[in-house]
Amino acid sequence: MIEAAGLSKRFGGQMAVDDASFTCAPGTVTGFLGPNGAGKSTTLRMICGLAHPTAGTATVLGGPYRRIANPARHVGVMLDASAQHSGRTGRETLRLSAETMGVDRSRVPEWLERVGLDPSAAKKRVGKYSLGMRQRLGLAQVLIGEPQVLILDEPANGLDPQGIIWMRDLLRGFAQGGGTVLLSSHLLHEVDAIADQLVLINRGRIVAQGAKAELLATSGSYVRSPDRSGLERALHAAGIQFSASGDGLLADGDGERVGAAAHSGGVALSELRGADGGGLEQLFLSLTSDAGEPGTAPPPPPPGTTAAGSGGQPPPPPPPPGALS
Amino acid sequence: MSAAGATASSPRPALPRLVAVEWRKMLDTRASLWLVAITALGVVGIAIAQAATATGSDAEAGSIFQTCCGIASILLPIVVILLVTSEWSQRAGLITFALVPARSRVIAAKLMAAVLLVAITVVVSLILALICGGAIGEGTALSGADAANGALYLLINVVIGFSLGLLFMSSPLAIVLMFAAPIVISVVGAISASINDVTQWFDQSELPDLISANASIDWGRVGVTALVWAALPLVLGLVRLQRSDID
Repeated sequence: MIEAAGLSKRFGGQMAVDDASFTCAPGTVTGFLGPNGAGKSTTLRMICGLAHPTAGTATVLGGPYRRIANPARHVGVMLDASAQHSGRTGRETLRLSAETMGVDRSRVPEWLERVGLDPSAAKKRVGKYSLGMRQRLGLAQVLIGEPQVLILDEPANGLDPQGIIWMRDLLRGFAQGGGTVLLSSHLLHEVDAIADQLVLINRGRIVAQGAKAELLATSGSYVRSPDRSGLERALHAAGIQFSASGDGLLADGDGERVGAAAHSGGVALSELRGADGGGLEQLFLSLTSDAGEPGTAPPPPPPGTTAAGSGGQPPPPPPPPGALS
Repeated sequence: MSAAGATASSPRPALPRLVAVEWRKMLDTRASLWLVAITALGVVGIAIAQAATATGSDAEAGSIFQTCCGIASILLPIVVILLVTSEWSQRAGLITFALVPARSRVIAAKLMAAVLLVAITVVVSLILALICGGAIGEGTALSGADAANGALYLLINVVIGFSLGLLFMSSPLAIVLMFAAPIVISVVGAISASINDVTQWFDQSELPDLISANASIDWGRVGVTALVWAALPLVLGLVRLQRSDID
């Protein structure tokens, strides 16, 4: 169980994290999503007692992390897989962690093997490791304490496809065994595949949270027509909100309504389907599209709502390729 | 079992265990292993060279021991600085302080490991000095003052390195300050007698003379110098560590 209540962190005049509140329950995998620099890492550091909150509190397993006598036996924390001493071998790194938390060091070879670091890799210095190998070593350090809670910052970074599948199974199994997992990522696909709960953060504020299925359920329909402006007029006339999505539109209504609107507007459709295929991506973009233009951004929906659909005004079209150069 | 009970079930890591971990950290990286190996070679080499080539009391165990400590007090502070600063320069602190949230306990364990390194160096140097003095040099004469002064000088230098490492959390800054500051201070102190009256109280470069076996130790100046260079940065560094965010 992880609970953040009003967590805030100010760096200079900037609110890196602003009033973040969420709960991660046992038996679930919570994906902590946000663009780079949104405040994910800072929030996780505050939960683990490594950064002091400007305001708010965080508890893990019912109390502040720093009060846990031997935290690594209860909470596995990996905040940056690349933050390991490059001059030590993988085996030595894991042994130091095991000894610190009081795990018998005879278990070190077993865990190295379980995360897929063979004996020759274990003998190498961490400085020679790829990021994927460091992630595996980091997970070994986390798992060797046999915790009930996992807090992982970008654990999928640098893993190859097999590694990602391996980690996905591992985290799912961990949650099915009653464990609590909180993992951050900016890789939507990864979170989509692993998480059942979502917390979305943008510019330090939680912009949406809840069960993934609920958050994505209201994402409406994806609709496409050769006559795009005609389609837009038809949707507008039917009072259906929409936004641009690739070649087509993401409409805030089910297929039946959207199809009827197109029909009454006399617009031929080339595609109409539930938007759940690109749901998380769409949700993410709609909630984080204000990045870079703070003055004009609409206020984010309050936390807890099943936020979706960015309103009637579609965002301005992206500049044509080459316009930025 | 309640959640609070669950988190209390595993006792917090005992200090001796943390000291053992920090001791390993001091010796298990390539950089620190080389530094310790070079120190050992230097100490052995200088002991043999002094026993073989010096004359009179300089070839006796007491003098040889002091030279050994002098060599060690150049290199061992760097080992200790790296033990402290690698938590930041290598960002290993992200794991260390997640495993042991009581940051001052980590620092206490590191300091004890550093003192242990000094103790072992002193014992090895004593044995080496007695062997070299007796077998090659002019004899095994080694007074209590010889032993105490050599050990004290080494200890002060190692703790100074430790404290500067903690205060600056940066290897280059701590190492440069450790070696450049005494030079600067003694240059400034040489300007005039009235300036020297001030700088003599915190001039590290005068420590070897102050802790010489030939005269009684000037505890006032040694104490103030140790306070300024070891105790003060240690306290300030601990405060800084408690207040800082690890990342």
